Amino acid sequence: MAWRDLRHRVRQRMADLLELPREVVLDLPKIVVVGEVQVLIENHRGIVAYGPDQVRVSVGEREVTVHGRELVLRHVRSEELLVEGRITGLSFR
Amino acid sequence: MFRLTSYLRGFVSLVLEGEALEKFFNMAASRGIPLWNLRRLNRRRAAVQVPLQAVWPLRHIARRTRTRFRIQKRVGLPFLLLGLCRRRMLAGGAFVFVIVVYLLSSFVWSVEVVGHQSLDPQEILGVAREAGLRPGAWRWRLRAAEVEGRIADRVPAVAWVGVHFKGTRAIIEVAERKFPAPADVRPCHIVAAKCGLVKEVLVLRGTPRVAEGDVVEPGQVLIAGEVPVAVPGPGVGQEQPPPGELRRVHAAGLVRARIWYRGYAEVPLVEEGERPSGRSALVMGLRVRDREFVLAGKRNPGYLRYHEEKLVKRLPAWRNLDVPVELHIVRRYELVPWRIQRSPAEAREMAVQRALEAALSGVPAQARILDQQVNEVPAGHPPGLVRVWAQVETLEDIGTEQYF
Repeated sequence: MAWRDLRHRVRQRMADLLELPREVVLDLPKIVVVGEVQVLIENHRGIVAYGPDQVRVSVGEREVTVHGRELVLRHVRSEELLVEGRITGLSFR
Repeated sequence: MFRLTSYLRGFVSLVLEGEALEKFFNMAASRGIPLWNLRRLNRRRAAVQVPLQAVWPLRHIARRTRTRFRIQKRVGLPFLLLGLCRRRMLAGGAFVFVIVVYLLSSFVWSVEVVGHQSLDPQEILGVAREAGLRPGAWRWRLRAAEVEGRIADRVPAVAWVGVHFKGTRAIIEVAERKFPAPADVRPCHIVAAKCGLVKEVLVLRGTPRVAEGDVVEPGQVLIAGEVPVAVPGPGVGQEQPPPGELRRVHAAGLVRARIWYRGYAEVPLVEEGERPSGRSALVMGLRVRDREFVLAGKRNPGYLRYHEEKLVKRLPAWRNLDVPVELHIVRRYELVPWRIQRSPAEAREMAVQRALEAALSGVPAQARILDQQVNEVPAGHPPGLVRVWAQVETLEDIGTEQYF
């Protein structure tokens, strides 16, 4: 665990030093929320569960949940995922 | 753009059924198969749209994730084409239709001549027919320049010709050559058009009947279109006209005469009248039998003097039914009086100008004005009036042709 922490810290320092986008270096998801109608998740790892009320998406070590109603996955590709519907919330776990 | 390409390449709506649908989607996404409009129907079922070419690889994924799918809807051009392949006669009919329309439009259906005036269009059409331009000719084989050249060669009265096509209509546009009018050789006299004093006579053809200083009346023969027939006499250069034998010719010549024109004008010293002030009022009223109701505007605009224009609209009488209702639209224009007081000199100047204008109104453009005279008539009745006679003397050609 200590080794992983160290590696993480080194990467973050490198990212700050080289002014690279963090989501690229640290393998973080980039989430764009458009009003309450659209959520775009880039750099995801797959769908964990989905339904009309919530969509759970695996992102790296964590998981993002989009809450809402009448949710539809407008498109699903290997690098990005677009959720549409009436969004009520977004949470990390 | 995205929608257009997806339509061209075709896509299908699938209904999936299985326990581990998430796994199916992740696997599809990781293999680069795009999924659209993913929607959960219930716990075991979901609907999704995928491109047509992704259906085959999805079968393997479905088998590995123990999912079953069913194609619900097919959308796009490939399916349309497939449908057309099944209905071969329909596709063939559409194709034949296009070909027939194209073939029919490549024929000339009608030929038209425009721009002709005195020429007979049938003549031009005949030449065009010889050159190949006729209803039923194949358009692509025709050379417009060839037809133009043929018409220009064969019809000498055509100065320019242009052939162009408008759909299935061929239009031959021609411009005619203008020929000078043939010389008039009909025998005639030159007679006087006006009354005047002959100043000079110049005979080009014919026999003079008047001399300088004669007074002529309208209709009087000035140059007769009759000449004695010349018979060679016994001596060289001597010609003796036999009496009584005359030849009729087209008389020509100039007979200039002095003509007088008179004009009269009178101008009062004091003039009065009324003119519109520019103000007007509109009244709209309804007349029922003998009663009048004002609908809009004032019944009385308060003008001292006015001139009115009345427009009456009524319903058309139908059989013996006459509706006793009329719509009156009255426009009243206010009039104001005016009064002009002139000095005698002013009035005289004005009268002179008007009298001269009156005299000159009858003078033709080519006449030469020799003299202008103005006489004031002595004041009589009524006293406040200036009266002027003007006289213009001109020298002009008074001859006109009169045919026998």
